[in-house]
Amino acid sequence: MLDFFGNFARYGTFFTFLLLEIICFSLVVRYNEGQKEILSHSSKLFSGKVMDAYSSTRNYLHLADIADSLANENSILLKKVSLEAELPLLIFKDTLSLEIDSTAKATFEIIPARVVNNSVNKFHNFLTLNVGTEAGVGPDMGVVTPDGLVGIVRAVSPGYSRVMSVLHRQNRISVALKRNGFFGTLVWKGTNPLEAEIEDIPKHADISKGDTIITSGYSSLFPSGLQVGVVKDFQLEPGSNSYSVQIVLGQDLSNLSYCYIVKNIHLEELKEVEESVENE
Amino acid sequence: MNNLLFQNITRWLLLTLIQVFILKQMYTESGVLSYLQIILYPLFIILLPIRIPNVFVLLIAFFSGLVVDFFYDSVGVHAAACVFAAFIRPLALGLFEPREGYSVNLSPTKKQFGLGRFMGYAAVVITAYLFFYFSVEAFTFVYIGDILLNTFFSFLGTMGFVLIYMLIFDPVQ
Repeated sequence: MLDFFGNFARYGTFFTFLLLEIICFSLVVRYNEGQKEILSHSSKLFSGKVMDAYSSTRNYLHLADIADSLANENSILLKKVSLEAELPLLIFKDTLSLEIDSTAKATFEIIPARVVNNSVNKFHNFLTLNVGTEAGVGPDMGVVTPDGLVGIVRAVSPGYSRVMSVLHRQNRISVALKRNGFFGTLVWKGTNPLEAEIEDIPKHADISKGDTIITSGYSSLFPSGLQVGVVKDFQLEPGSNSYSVQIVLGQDLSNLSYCYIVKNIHLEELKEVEESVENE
Repeated sequence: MNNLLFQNITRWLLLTLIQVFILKQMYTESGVLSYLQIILYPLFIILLPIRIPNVFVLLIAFFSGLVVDFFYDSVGVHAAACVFAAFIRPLALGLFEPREGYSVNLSPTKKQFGLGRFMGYAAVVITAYLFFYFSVEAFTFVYIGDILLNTFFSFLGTMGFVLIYMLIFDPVQ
């Protein structure tokens, strides 16, 4: 027994260190894999409540800015409505449902949300929003602002939802050039939170600096025609068949307070159809 | 004794609050400074009294790391780095040990160590923390360039804040 204590005094520190690191790493891994189960960290637990209170205080202090941006948003929307937008643009109606094109039926519904927790400078960034299943939010819904994309809902609890930010190295979103419709994939390389890259735009595409990038609508997450950003620069790597394009994101995620969750009403149906083909 | 305990708890609370509500927000809102992240709260581990057994230092580090993790939404990452920093602490103390040895009742502060030696000791622990933190966050050494850049710039920033903290509060124990 004495031997045991003697050894513990000698090696105890190292083993405690090892044990604690193993616990930490298993936490990290669990967190990376099953976000659904670990939603607790910013959503249900105490820290979620604290951050919630904190962000409301902060929003209160920023009221002037927020009012300005809301006023701007309203004016832009009014303009869009009055012009009966030719392009498939978002139309925010009183009922908070939204139409793509005036001809198509409303396939998307929008849910306004407030950002409770946010990060932009990690390799894998997430946000927490203050709406959850109670407000009709579910996984795999797009999150947007009038200026650009925010991310994709990954997990929801009754009162909160967790969003994989556009600034996440595993995010791949289909986007297109507004001018001519050539499409590619939006990715983020993990360095600058104000910029992102587009891959797979074919080399015969006509592209120039300052081109507007919009969502292509080739996924069920985002309606087509949403603002994403502006082309900053592009190169054709030697031997490659596609451009690598750098864009400036339309929405600066580092000062985001409010955003909208886009709910595809036909998501279930769409998934069913797609799965039924895959199963054959 | 009680006074010492009280002082350390207050320090922990103060540093955690600064970390979570000021430094984190500063970082999130200044989108451009992507390589600079200020992580001040390990200063609490640095300033723990020398006579606390290392095992307890590790446990304390683990829990204070977890608390910060809850707010950073990165369960385990800060805790892992903080435990590593606590593990390095005795080695760093050894590196900067005065010739006559430590008196066990000391806390390793600027007053007791002198500015140069204290900053050297803090630098070793902070470097260990930051390097481990960014490595665990990336979870692969593929991004070793980014990890080193992050560590370097964050080190400069954090040491600046450590210096400011020590100059303002200048704790004796």
